[in-house]
Amino acid sequence: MSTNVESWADVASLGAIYPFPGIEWALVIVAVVVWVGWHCWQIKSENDEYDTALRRYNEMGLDKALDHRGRHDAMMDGS
Amino acid sequence: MTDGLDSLTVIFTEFYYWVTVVIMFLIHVGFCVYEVGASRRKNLQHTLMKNTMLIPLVTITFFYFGWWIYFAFPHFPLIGGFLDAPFAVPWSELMGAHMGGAVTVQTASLTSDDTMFWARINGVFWAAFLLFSWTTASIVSGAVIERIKTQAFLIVVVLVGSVTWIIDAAWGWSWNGWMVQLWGYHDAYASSVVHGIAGGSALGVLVVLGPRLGKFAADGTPRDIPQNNPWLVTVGLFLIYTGFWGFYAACNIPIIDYTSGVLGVEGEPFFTATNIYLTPTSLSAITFNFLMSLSGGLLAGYVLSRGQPFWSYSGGLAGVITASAGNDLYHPIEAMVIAMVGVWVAYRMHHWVERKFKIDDAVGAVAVHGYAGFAGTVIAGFVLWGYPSNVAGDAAGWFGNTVDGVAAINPIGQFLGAVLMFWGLGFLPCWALAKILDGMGWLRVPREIELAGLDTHDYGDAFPYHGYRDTAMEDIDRELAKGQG
Repeated sequence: MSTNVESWADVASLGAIYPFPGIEWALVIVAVVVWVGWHCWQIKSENDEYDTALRRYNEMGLDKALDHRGRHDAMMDGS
Repeated sequence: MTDGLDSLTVIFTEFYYWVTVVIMFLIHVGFCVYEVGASRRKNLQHTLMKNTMLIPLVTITFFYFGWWIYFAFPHFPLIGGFLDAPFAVPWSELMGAHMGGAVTVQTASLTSDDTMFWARINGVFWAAFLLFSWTTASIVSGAVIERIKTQAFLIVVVLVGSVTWIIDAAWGWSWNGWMVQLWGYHDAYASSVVHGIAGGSALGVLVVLGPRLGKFAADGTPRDIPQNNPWLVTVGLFLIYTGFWGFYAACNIPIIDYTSGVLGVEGEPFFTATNIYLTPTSLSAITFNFLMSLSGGLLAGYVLSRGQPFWSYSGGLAGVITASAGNDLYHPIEAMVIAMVGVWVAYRMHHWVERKFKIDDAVGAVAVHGYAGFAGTVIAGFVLWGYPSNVAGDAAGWFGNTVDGVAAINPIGQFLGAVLMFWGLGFLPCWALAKILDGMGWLRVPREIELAGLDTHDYGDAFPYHGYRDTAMEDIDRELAKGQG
């Protein structure tokens, strides 16, 4: 039982030495899903964060949000 | 690999590129440090994470398709079609750990010698180009700080880092690129191939993105937005200088038997380093010129800005970038003078464009990389006029040939190349993408967020234990919040 290489004795004839050669196409599909999925998650997460912050700024008033200590305390209390 | 000399050459080359990659990593460290220093305290962490997350996204997309583009696109696709590059597609066995034995799917264009070579070189060569990709994409980052949404930036960097810049590299930074073969294009250390396109890309985004709130007074006068930490900015630029050493070395091929016949030249063995076009140069030559152009840039930047640290340091960088197109061949003093000219162009253009078009390039990236790179590419056309652009050309140059029958370096080809990279592959695609992102509401943070700071609730204050000293910009923010200013 081996996922690929069973001996280093004839190293000169070895090709791919990573496990499960032959499934590269499937790995590429997984990789593309990870890439696109990450963008989708990041876009939603960032927009949600700004929406939340905007709601808080409306509640507290933009003046207080512009006060650094006030904003920091409010953000930390509400998170 | 069984032949001793061949094996030594290949493994030395493998190690050489690996070292350059490690050194080049400092460019990105420098960009992050520099941008954090240039951002206001309320935006520090957003600025840092925006540029940091460029690393994984450009890396994976460069693995998926960027590397293939470089080898498949050297001929203008509408005329020459795509070249076969079986070692560079993401499903290739040679894009992983490999000992050079037979590949499962053998193609006519992949001989056993090719397999042996790419098994050793593919990863480090890919990584060297990947670090160029990070740099190109990261140059855009500084220009757009303090108001761009991370999501937009991370989509733009995939376009720049894994598509447009590597197309220009295939066309103009490869011995068989059509710009090299037909226009005699020469840009050894990437004045336009990396810096010009990055500057154009940044400008394309900036035109749509608009200036930071408060950057321009009601009468259009630009305001100076103070940097959070000028010391950090200069340390960042020092780190970029350091990484640039690796960048220069990575643009070379460290050792080739020049007369083996492979390059169409035969004779007694003559081992040399070459540039990316396979024309001869040496590490000594580029070391002379790197340091002399850095010095010329620093001297000019200091004079122009009257000793201001930011523009003096930026001058050093712009100087190297200006001379880079021909730094494989220039005399060191030529490199120094050319660098000084480029810094003058960058400095003057930055302030003129800022005042005339209200472009808020927060760190001068368009100037230092774009205008200096453009100027340097054109200057190389005059100074290196008549030099062979490559050694193995099989097409007549449009603007003149050398006695060897290959396209000669010339001012027209260089000018067209600079225009194509800055405007055609830099500005236009990014301007179009920015318009789309803006239409979707993904480009710019809401006005209230920008005024209060992009380090919102998930971040908090970057220095919670340090007191805050308001500057005039905070007063301007308060006026803007009230609908004035």
